[in-house]
Amino acid sequence: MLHRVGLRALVAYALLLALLRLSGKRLVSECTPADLMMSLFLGDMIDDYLWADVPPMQFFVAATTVVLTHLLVTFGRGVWPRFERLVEGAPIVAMRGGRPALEQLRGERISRFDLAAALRSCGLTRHRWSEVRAAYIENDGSTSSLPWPNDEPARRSDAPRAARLRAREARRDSSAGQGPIPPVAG
Amino acid sequence: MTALRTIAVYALMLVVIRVSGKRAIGNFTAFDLLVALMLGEVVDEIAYGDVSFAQGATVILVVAALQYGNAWLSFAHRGAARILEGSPRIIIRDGAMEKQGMRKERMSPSDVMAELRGLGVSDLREVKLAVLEVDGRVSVIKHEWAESLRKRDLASTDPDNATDGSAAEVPESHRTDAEWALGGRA
Repeated sequence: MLHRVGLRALVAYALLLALLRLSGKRLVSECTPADLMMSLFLGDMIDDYLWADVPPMQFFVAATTVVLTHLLVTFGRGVWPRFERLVEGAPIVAMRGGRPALEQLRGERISRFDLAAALRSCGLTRHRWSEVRAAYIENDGSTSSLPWPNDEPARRSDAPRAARLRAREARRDSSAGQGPIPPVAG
Repeated sequence: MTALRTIAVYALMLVVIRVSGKRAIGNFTAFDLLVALMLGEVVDEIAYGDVSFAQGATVILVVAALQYGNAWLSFAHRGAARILEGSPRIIIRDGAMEKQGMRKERMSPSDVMAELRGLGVSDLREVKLAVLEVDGRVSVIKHEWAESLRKRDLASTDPDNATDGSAAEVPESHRTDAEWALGGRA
């Protein structure tokens, strides 16, 4: 009896591995509604097979159907934007121009406290909300925030320009008789 | 027949998860996770025909309705949210661990340091505030001196960088904002 359970576990493992490889990377890395669904389904259907509550064929058909349906749905959302919007929804605008987008948030039942928590996950406290040019709650439930141009992270290529500007400022100041300004990063 | 039932229950679950909103997917509170598992646990009986489709659909719809009501109540009433979801807990303040908050969440100092490492913070002193959120993740807000460099810091006199962050001063060319990023009219 026991060795049969072990054998079924092996078969189920192999089948699920094959089906997951077939369904692509998205299931692993992202968690949009359709992806979440498929994980729930597959995880749940396996146990009845392990305990021999259903015949192998039925498990095989059910698992394959789930994956095929999922493939169809993911294929559909790739080629047909309206279908994608239907199954995945659209990202919610949470902040716009430094202010909470209250109407959209209310529509998704996201309170100010939820919003604050979402922005905290981006490292932003309430008193810095005005620094957020736009923030979105993405389809997978994560938060992204975009800063104003001036608050973007500095890039290495910004350094030469900054040095030129500082040098110009220093020249101007020395010609005004105030003496050169020591370099900032000294 | 198994295949048909599987497709039907897949479609039903997709609708339910979509309607229940972003909260069901990304920011799992303890209870959201429980509900997802609960819904996941009934699909196999439906797919294999152990229960009738009507019976299964009723369970799914009732659980989904309860979850919807829960989310609505948490949104409408702060006190209800505290009871139903719990509240975020401060675990670090001004570079020092908050022993009381950590004790309430049964977090040891090494748990806290592990969370910080995961977020790329190696020095406790950099942290102005760390919060254990209701979904179990930790958000970290750094002191201003510990934040990464921004364009603003490099060249304060740069005329191109002179916007102070108010919406009116962002030039048209920088409009990668809400509507545009969502595919709307620019």
